[in-house]
Amino acid sequence: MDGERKAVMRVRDLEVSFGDNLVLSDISFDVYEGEILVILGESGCGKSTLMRHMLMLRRPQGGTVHYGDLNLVEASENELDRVRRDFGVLFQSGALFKSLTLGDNVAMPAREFTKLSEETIEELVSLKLEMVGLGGKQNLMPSELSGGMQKRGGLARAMVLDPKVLFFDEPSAGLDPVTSAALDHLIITLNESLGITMVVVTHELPSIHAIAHRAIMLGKDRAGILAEGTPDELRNSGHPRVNAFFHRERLEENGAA
Amino acid sequence: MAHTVTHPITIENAEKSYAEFSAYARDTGSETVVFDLAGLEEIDSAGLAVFHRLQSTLEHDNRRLEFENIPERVRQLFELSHFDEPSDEIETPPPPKNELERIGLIALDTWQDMRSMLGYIGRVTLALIWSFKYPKKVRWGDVVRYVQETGANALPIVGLMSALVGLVIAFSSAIQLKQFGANIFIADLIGIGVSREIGPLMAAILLIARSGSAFAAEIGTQKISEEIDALTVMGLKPVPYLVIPRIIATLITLPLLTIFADFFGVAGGMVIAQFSLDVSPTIFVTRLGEAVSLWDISSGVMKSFFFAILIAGVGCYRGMETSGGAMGVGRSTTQSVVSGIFLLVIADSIFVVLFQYLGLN
Repeated sequence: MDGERKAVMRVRDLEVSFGDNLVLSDISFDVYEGEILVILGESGCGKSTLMRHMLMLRRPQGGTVHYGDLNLVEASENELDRVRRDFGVLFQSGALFKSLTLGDNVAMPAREFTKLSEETIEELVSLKLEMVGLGGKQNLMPSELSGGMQKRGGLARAMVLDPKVLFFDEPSAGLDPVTSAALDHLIITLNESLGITMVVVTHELPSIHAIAHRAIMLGKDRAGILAEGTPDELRNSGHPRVNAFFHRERLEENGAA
Repeated sequence: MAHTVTHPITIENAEKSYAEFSAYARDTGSETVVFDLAGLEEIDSAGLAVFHRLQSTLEHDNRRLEFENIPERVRQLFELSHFDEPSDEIETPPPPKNELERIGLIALDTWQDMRSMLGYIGRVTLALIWSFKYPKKVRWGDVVRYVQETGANALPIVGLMSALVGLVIAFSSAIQLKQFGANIFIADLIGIGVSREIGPLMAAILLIARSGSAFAAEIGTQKISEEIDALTVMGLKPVPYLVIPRIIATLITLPLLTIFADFFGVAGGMVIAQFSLDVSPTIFVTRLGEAVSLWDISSGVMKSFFFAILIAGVGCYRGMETSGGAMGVGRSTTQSVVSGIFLLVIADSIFVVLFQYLGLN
């Protein structure tokens, strides 16, 4: 990567709590244009929570999240709606609307936000479905698709309006290694060919090595960001918890802290 | 002196073994109780639990449990169950709050709930105004589907229930009316009662049960499967997208259902008038025309517009507030019916007082 990378999103001092329970604090990092940034960490460290707060599905208790010049934390709902059209999100379960066909699901953002004709939208839908390997399946209902296919369907919907930033919430969760590797490959291809910036939340080591340009690792117990860098840098970092994560080691409870 | 264990300790004989070991521990009375496990060929988790239990009773008396000649396989099991370390303290949930704190928490919760409800009412109102301003943006396809679902499909049950209630009311009043020879006034009683209260309420209660609950369950399921989040991040607001079509549909159907319920309620009363009070349908209908004013009917229908917004609004609100998996959906559905009926009765009482106060009788 070149030295003068442009930050698309800037997160500063993010603080999140549920009631009295402080979940994230001291989170600061940048997302650079065109990169695949992986947010990783042990189960329960707040990875998905962090993503939900970058998308403002819930407002954080402190800190700022800038997209371009706009501070999303203080943005109005209308401003957020506008910004979100630059975003695409693949939820853990795919989150396809169960009452619509796959084709209608993918077509939905296009129908809502563009003045494209129905014929063009249909072409667009089959194009995107083709991209994620679901060509010809537009008339199936989500319930007729396997878990992996639902996820790819969700990805097609997330990409239909060519988002600038794509978010993935645990893309390989619940998928077998082969399907998961195929999805990783799809993510890399999309990033390289379309130049979409991607933020991926995951804890799957093979995925991290396969796709990440850069990774940040969250600590447990609101320890903030433990380490930041390329997967190789993280693997060789001196931090015992980061080490244990990357080498799949058991961590003795007392040894690490 | 060690106690030699010769038999396997498994789930089959765990209690018997515990009795044997603790009897031995009691009899020796020494501070350190030693067991020789050389002959122990088989032990399962229940067996481990027996030793754990023995250890904690002994620790309680400041005594110790020790083993000799532990076979390799058993030693591994012992290590796995952390025999040598003091057992982890069982985490206790935070102590219950005292009454004052609890009252405070409930007040805060209620305050939060009311604030979010108020925000929701505001969003719904704005979205309703918006949809009257830009009717083209309303999802009419969904509206038609919900009209079918909440209205057309409800006709048989609404008709049947209203007719039965009309029948029951007429039947119970027939005896009283007969005593005064006031048979003809059955038409007044049924006509006014049904068109003002019974019709609108029957239609509304059935709408809560059939559709308010369905809205809560549908939207609740969408909420827990992240579909609402997906809508939000696409920049589609859930309220115009999910709530408004349902409210518009019930605004169309509930007044019609009310008229339908009025008709069947009166018909039910007419049957009793004929058979119990010898008031023929012709006389009944003539008297009905004199007794029931247009206002009686229109006030009932007018109320039903408010009920419609209330019922659909509450159902959708409970759906949107759903959290916590399948149980959460069940809770929302129940809540939608309970608070729906509660608010319905409150609203109806307000209307009665309001009409009285304004002299609209």
